[in-house]
Amino acid sequence: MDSTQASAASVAPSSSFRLKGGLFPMTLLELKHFDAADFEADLQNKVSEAPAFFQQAPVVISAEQLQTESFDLDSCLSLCRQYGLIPVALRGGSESLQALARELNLAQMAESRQRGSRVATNSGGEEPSAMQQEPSALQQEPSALQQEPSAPTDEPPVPEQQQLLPLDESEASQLEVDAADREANECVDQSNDGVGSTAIETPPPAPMQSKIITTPVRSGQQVYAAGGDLIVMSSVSAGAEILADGNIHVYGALRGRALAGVRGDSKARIFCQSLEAELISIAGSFKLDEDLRGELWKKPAQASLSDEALNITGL
Amino acid sequence: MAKIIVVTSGKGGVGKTTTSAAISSGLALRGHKTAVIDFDIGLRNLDIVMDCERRVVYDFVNVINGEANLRQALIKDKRCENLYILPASQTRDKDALSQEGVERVLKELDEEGFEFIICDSPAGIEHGAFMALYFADMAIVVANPEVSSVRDSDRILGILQSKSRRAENGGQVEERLLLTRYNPARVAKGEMLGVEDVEEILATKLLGVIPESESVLKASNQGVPVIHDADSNAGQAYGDAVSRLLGEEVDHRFLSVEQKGLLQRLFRRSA
Ligand SMILES: Nc1ncnc2c1ncn2[C@@H]1O[C@H](COP(=O)(O)OP(=O)(O)OP(=O)(O)O)[C@@H](O)[C@H]1O
Ligand SMILES: [Mg+2]
Repeated sequence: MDSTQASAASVAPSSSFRLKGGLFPMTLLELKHFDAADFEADLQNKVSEAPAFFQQAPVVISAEQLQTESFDLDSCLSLCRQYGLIPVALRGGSESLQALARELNLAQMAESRQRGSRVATNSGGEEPSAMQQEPSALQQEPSALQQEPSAPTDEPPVPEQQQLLPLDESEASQLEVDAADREANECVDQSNDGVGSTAIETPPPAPMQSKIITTPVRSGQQVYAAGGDLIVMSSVSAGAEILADGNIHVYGALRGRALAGVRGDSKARIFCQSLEAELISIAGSFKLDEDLRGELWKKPAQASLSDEALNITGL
Repeated sequence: MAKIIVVTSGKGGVGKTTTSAAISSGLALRGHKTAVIDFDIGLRNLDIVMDCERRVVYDFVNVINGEANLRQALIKDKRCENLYILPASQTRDKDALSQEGVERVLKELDEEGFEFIICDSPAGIEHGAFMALYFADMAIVVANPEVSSVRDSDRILGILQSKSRRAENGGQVEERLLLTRYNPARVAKGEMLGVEDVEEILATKLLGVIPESESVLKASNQGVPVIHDADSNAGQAYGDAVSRLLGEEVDHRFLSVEQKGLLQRLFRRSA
């Protein structure tokens, strides 16, 4: 009897895989209404603004803001895929919608705890806020994948606070995500592979950290500083894309695309030694190079957001 | 250890094969035992530029597949004592290059005492180009003075520093920029990018500037790498590039329309 108890308590470590908790930044596609043609047009717009950003990017479809009971989820998904997004889960929505989602092999995400208030806090202008980079957690639901308290893993179990979906925008939970994202950020490689799949191992609570890049960011490369600032000590080529949840500093020419505050931080700024960018965006408000080719073109400049207007000033 | 140098560009037709032939010949002429490998499987033009087409019996893919050994496939150059060519297969497709196979051939060349291994990359950023650059210690990135070519070179530099074996091991591939088909008259008219512009955009050490020259076409039609044509400016410019590759300090020439004095050139470059 003793032996059976022991074996029940200590789940044998699986040889072919190991389960770990993981926190990954993911894009939330929050639907306001759904009309296939409108949706495609908007999607097309978004993707052309930042093609690299959407390549093979996992997205969570949110039906929380949707007024209608149901919509054509199937065509929504195929449009997403057509434009390089990989829909992985549905958040919110009616029961019938959720049943449909299960049929379509989508995961189910817990609903936001602060229904409604998100729109108000997050909207950086009508249009750009439709799609936001959001921290979202991919992790084992306690019910779905039992993590035995006594499971003999060399990893301590995922801390309690990480089991919570960090979906409200309060400072405290934001910080936890930041710490976790910092780890996730290690597996964002410099080329286009996007967010990697390394699991996070017990992130210690830590302050926001910046990511420092010392070599040029070349055409076709993408660098994302999750949860903090991005500092590039060289130039950023045309065709390259740099993103940060916080500020972006480029101590060289900025010729590619720079997106700061990608999770909606409207206080984020972009600084560069020479402004030659293809696109500059803060919390979703953006300017393209044709709008940037003014007096400050090829000059040291900074970009900041005030009243939803993107301002470019000299340094 | 043999130094593995990939000649790459991203964009096609910018002068990689011309450069591979010239640089490998130049290194051999200075006494370094050098091999040049054609990674452009299915097209095969290095052997034409080096005039050994008719002597190809076995090729790179045969060696990789174990159908021939390295010594059987290596072709000794007619003009240079120390130069050997490993031609590409005309009949296979580029997927015939396996990473293990390429690694094995490079290792064998090293064991044969080669000092330099020059890899002539195909255009693009697909399998063949990737195989050519993966094991490189150094990359000569060939660009023409035009925006699309420079953009592709930038892209290749990014791939080199993230996807090569050195990058995977946390190191770096040495980068050198070779600007070819440079036409100072067209640069002066603003029709082409200037050296400074390209250097600025790519932020990479300049190995040389090869002028646009009829002697290159003539040389490749005759199957004589242009570096042997000591009278041509392109041949001289390739000679200078080889010197720089070997660590010598040589001033850049042929950058302006008429031959200017050294002082004027210095003035121009710092202006
Ligand atoms: N400096 C030069 N002046 C004039 N013509 C040149 C010069 N360099 C190369 N060329 C010409 O450009 C053409 C392409 O050159 P080459 O075959 O070396 O390019 P490549 O980069 O190897 O092309 P591919 O991508 O197809 O392999 C050839 O006809 C060659 O003679
Ligand atoms: Mg070629």
